[in-house]
Amino acid sequence: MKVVLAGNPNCGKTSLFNRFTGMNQKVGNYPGITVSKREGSFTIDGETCSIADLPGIYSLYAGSEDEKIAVNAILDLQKLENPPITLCIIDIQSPHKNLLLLSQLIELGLPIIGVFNYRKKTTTSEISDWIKRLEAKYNIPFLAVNANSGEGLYALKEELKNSKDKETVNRYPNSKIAEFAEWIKQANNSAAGSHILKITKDLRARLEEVDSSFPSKTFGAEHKQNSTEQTHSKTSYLDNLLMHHIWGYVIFGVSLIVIFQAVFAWSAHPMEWIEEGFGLLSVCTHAYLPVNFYTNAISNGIIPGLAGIVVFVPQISFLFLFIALFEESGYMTRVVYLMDRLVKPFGLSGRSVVPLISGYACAIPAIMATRTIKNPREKLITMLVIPFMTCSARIPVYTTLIALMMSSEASVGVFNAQGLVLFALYLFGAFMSFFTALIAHKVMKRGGRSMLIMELPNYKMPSFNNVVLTIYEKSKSFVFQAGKIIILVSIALYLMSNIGFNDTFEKIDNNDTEFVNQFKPNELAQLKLENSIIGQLGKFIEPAIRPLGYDWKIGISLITSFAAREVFVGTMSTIYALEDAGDDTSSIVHKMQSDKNPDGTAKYSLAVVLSLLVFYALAMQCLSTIAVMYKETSGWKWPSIQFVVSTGSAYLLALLVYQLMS
Amino acid sequence: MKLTQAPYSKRLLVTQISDATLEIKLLELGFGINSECNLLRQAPFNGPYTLNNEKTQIILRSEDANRIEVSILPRG
Repeated sequence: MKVVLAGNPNCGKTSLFNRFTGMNQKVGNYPGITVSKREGSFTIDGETCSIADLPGIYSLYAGSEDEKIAVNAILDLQKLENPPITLCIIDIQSPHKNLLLLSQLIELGLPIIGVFNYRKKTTTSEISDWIKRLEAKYNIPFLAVNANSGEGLYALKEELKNSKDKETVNRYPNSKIAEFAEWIKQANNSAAGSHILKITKDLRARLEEVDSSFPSKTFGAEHKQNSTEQTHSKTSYLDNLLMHHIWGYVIFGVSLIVIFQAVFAWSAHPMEWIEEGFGLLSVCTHAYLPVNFYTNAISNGIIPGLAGIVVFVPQISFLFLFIALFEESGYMTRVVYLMDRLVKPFGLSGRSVVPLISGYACAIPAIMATRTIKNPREKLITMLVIPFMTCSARIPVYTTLIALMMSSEASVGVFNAQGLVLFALYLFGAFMSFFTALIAHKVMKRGGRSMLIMELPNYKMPSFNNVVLTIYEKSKSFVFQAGKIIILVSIALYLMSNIGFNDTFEKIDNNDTEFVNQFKPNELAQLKLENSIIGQLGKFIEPAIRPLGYDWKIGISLITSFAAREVFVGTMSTIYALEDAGDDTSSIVHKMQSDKNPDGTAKYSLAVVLSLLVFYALAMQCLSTIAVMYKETSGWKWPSIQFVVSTGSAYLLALLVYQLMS
Repeated sequence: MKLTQAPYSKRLLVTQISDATLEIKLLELGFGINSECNLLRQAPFNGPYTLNNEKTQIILRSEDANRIEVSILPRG
């Protein structure tokens, strides 16, 4: 059996999907959280049923990409001989909006079950009378469930079981909706607009009668004060503050600063513990495992590489904590309201702000979140500039490089100096995003009219479960996605650094005593690395990166970072662990700090570090982002332009910084 | 009068919407012609407006608000 979930944005579809499947997926109090079709499965009496969760829509008239995904999926169902059962979820707090979609779905002739989602327990006697009236009117079953607690889910499964055997009846064979579906397909045609409007008006008018019969006073009679009204007044009180023309911006600004301080200062201790843990693990593998090639590969290749990633989990968790809180509480839409006018001169929309802020976490979900932007031009500009936002993968690189410049105790007033530099880098990323957007806005051809109409959801207390789930999911996918690359890169690096084809390498590898005795052990390790395949590769690109102040070791890291930028730290850790022949377990920062040029000056001078920071701030070093851009823009044109512009400007600016500073 | 010229926090009646797409999107959210609404606030620098009725609160840009004609309803 197949089941499809459809409904308005923020009506509880995804919560119900999670209830059904147990599959974890993000639920937010921001329209458009589900930006693609999600699929999962559950069982009824041992039979496996597949279930799909569609992005939220208000009607079959789609404006944005995410809405088109939902509408097309529904229109495709119509063509099937045995269409799956569609559960149309209706938020009981605002049935007037939700019933429009329901009536359209019913007229499409699909097998439907109307599911009322309630959040607070209520005596349902009047509601059930109303439901009976609806059942009589529409001739489909209706049920009430609490998607958050799972109450009513059993009855819903029973209903699904019964509905399975019923024959599909096209209840409205002459329905205007078939015609409507045709008009929707040509929605860009201006004549279609007026037809769609006419049919929508017609449906809406027919709903007036249902609307007015909804027992809205039921809640009021049962509870001293109507729970909806209570939420409304709380919402309007908070809106007076959070949407205020001065305080609104002050609060938004302060919350951004708090996020950056949290990401940097609060996560410092857990990061130390993780670093020490991995150091210990490396020592233990050396001490307890037999000395052979595999042990070396694990303790000098994989463990330092993985440590370089896992250590950043606390910072990423804090970042996602705040993003999840913003989305869950309903604050994100207020940010859209505050920011729309400010970002408009850059060719962006208020809806771009959420994807841009999400870009601080990761460009991949952020680019996917642009599907909620209705205007294609605004959507494209947003997608093009998101990778400049400081994603969490840059945090490992920035933290390591900043630590090379200054001690963790340094402070400016009450602020931690490292935190301030990080904040400046975040500002630099945002500046570059807007600067690039402005250029794109001036250069690109103007598109159609842009429209921003959004519902402001009532504020709600973020659900602890949903927030924890988001943090867990995002951190896990960061560690596992990056982890997979890191393990592969670490193994490849280890192999490539232990294979070489020139004389020097062979002499060291064969332990030619006459040659080997001329060097100290550390010098020998460096010489071996320098003459290995990876060393030769680094040397090969050295002429191109020398003007930026980089040597072949940084060159190796630059090459590997094009897979994913966070690989920089893992690669550096592996290179320095190899170079120290595994007997020095001090941190990577310490090792890099003590690395000297032949003339005795520090290899990582201020000029080199700043140049690297600029390079990593701008270069497009993420295969997954390129892949998602290819998918979203359906071609190589835009990802190629993005790659060339970002990486080119990264090289030129890094060159400028080094040449000016040195 | 245009919605952008309407006073805040007064009962307003939507009398005309001069754009089909805009009208469909507003209808979806329960703001059709002959429906009642309230203008709540506007973001700085001629930013978006917030508009509500009994059940829903929405935001829309000033250029779209300009396409909506309203009349003031007596207190009731």
